[in-house]
Amino acid sequence: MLRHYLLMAMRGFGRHRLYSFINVIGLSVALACAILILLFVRDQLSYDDWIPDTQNLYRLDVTWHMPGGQLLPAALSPFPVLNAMKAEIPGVAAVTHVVPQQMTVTAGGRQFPQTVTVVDSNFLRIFRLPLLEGDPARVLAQPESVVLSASMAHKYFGDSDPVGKLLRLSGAPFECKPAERACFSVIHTLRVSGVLRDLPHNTSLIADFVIPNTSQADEISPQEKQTGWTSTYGNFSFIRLAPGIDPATVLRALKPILDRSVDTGSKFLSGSGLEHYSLIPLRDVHLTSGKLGEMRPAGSRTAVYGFMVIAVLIVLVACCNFMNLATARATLRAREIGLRKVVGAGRTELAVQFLVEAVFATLVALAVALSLVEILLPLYDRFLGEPVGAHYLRDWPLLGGIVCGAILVGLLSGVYPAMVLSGFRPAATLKTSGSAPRGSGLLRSTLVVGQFVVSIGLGIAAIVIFRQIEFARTLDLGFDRNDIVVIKSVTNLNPGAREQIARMLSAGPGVTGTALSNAVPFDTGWSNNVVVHADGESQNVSIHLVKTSPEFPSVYGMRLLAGRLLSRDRGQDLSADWSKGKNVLINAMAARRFGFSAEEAVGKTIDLGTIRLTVVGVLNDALKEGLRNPVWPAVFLIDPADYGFLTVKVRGDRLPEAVAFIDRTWRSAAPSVAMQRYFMSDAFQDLLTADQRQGAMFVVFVTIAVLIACLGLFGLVVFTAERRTKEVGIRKISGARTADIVRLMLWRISVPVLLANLIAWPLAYYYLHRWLQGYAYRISLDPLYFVAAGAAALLIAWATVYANTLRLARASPVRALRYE
Amino acid sequence: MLSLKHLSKVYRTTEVETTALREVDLEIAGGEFVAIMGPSGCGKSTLLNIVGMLDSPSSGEYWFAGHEIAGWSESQLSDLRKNSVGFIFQSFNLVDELNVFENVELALLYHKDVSARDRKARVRQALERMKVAHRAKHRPQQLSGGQQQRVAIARAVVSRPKLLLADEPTGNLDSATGEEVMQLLTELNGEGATIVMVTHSRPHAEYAHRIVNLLDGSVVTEKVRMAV
Repeated sequence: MLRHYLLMAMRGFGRHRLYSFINVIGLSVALACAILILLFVRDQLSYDDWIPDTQNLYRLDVTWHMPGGQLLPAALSPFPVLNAMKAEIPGVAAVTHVVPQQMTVTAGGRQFPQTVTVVDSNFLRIFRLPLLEGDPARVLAQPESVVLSASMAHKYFGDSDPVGKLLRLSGAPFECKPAERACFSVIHTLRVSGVLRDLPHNTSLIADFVIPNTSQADEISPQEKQTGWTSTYGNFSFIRLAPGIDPATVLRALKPILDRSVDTGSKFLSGSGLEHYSLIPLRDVHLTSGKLGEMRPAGSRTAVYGFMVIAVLIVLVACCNFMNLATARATLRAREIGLRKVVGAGRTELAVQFLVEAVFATLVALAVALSLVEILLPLYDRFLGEPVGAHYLRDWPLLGGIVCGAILVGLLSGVYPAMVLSGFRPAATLKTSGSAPRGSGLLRSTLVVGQFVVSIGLGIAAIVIFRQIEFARTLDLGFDRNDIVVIKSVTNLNPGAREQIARMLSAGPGVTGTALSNAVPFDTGWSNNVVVHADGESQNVSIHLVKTSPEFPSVYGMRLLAGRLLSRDRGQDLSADWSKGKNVLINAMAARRFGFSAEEAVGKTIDLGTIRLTVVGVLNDALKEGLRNPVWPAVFLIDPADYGFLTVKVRGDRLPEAVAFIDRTWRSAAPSVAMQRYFMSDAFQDLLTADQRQGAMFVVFVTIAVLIACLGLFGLVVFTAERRTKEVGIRKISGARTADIVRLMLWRISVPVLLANLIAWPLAYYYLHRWLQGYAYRISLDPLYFVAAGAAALLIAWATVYANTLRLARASPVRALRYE
Repeated sequence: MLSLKHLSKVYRTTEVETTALREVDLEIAGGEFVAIMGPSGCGKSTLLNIVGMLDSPSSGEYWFAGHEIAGWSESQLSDLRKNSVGFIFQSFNLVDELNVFENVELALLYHKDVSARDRKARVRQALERMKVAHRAKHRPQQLSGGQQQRVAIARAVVSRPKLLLADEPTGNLDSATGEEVMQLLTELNGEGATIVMVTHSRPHAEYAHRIVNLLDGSVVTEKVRMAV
């Protein structure tokens, strides 16, 4: 019997080509999209799940609850917390610190700026990363040992065995005093003790160079590790809990430790009030975004879920097509169905037959879809910047899942037509022209409305997403991001050398200015937050403390709203002895928080602990973290001890010359420190890339959903045209002109589209409004976006059916009536 | 074989009530060949559909092989129908996607007690009997009208039904081919099949033992043809 059903399915397939084509193309494109999305989602969810035994492993994240109500969530946590937890909280089975630090790594003539991961010596026993050489229990046991990744081993030592060879590392300890020049350029020699296999792309860890934190090269001092309860210094804390231990219990037990250990500087603020901790399961780390100081760029849970929803919607749109066409074509099959009933087929047998046909069509579509995916994958990988493809034959669960999913789609598409068609009454259908099943017209209209709700809703979303991206790209950020080169590696120079290089560069060809600072726009890895209050104001305000050389505002093109800029010529601006007071600039947001206008703020004093800061000028607000985060109040002051970035403003027309000069100057002035530089415009672009990429993906998938819906609409019109022929004939005999008929037909197709608008608009408004809340700076939801998407849907629907409608309307009424 | 007592069929819509059959009494004995005649809309097809269990009566009794089946469920009727009734239509009603062999086979496909081998043998036999065995691999569209009707008859008889219902079997055929089909039906009747045939053709009705004339849903005359 199954053979017979398959035979019918195959023959029918070949005979009704247009019908099969619409169904299979719609379904294959939908399935291909769904598979591509599935691969993306699977990749996003696979981060770190390849590391063995990580089910009880968590990252400990701190959220600073700053006085004044601001929250500052970080992916990091202060160093001493872990050891205290291990010592005092039962259920904490193991802990390990992971601190990526920027250093210059040298071997022989090879010298590069690198990220060195400084860890506890038990790191490789907790993160069981694959070692090519060395014993995980011993490779980090000696203080001056280093484990390299295979590609780094090759980069520094070529094909020779790296184990036992020496690497020279130099960084700048956080505690270097400005006067201790040697402190900034100490070189440490470490011996290679093991080689790691390169980590796959789906990890949140960096492990090119792994050294134990017992090494002299560690930039965090032993004292800071004991007492630094209010700074993170880029430290990631990982905890393994004993099986069955509830993370919430552990976090509760942490509170008394914090209250005892953290000195908040205020008797009104407890340690557990300032620092709130959370435990993020390692496998969730990648999709926990929006935190300060992530080791690698985080993914977006919203995007992952959003694309899953889109995949389901696209497949549903294709399923609707299938159902619509199957029931629309039912009249053509009515005779066959009647006949089968006459010769004894029961309703179940017929229903099974139609389900088999639907599943068959879906499996054909799946084969086409998999081919499409194979063709598109290289492009897709390049677009995503990550290899998400799968080897189906090696990945049985995936292939099995996809096939089962496709069968499910087939059953879903087939179940309604099967019910309708198998319910035909044979006496009625065996007359030459079968009659349409009652009720299916209403269902078809419902499905068409549903498809357009999806299309219009996604269309509005696409418009809004692109408007927001465009808004982000062109927004005045309050500073100039073009023709700016940022040099990161100045941390590793002593303060005198930093100033000297800054001076040398500012005199170079094509350079218009240089500035030193402890923070630059778009670098979210570092934030210095302190609590201050303005005189006369009891309210504490949490501010970013930006330490800059006086040239910073002019190099970044920031506007002075009131007062004056800082100057090298005024002692109180420059003073290194903070206890005598210091002149500072603030931004407009800080002035507002303190309760002043820009003009009023000038001359006011701010208390930073016991230090008295005097406001000499007010700068405009700069959106230095892009659009997602609001501008924080900021205080700018001069503090040469703490600069980590050198910003060089160059002339756009002399860029190559200026960059060559920067490189040359650096090499001659700081030969032992590898330079790390980037363009500010690239950093800004990086900030937008994820959004732009997801926006583009979104638009592609939306377009496909709309095309599939149109394909279905086209099929529906073609298949119902036969039934419309008689109606058109009668109308024409009664005096209707072609234009009247066309108008009537277009109106009929417009009704479901207009109805779909009514449903899609509020839905789209609700979700997009929520999505935009994620941006501190965002567009407003212009009603025009909704009207545009609706009008586009209507036009596309008209264009889809117009040719067919015209042909129908022009046909001779005599022929049309003879059709009966 | 079958007997209809005071059988009526009324079609109702919200506004109109149409009586298709009115208090019909009719008895058909096993082995009989009955022709039903009457003008368009007199209820011939309705009567045939009820007799063939494709439709149910609004009132009255329908006795078939000793059972009163007027109130039976669709699945009960479906079972009885597939074992007892074969249909022949004016428009042949062959499935375009299936070839000749498969079209005939269709009538046995839903008989779970017939093995595949048995099924094939019976289909071949039926095709040979109807002289279309050489066309077994052809599709219906490739056959002449007469050949198509032979295939349809083969399909109707392959399940060896006791009752054959023919709804204007010669309506779409030229007169020579129509005669051939009537000869075939007569042969089948001679072999024991009970046949009820709706027709507009007086000459073809003459092949039957008895002609029932319907008018406005009622039996008006019955004419018995004397055995020759």
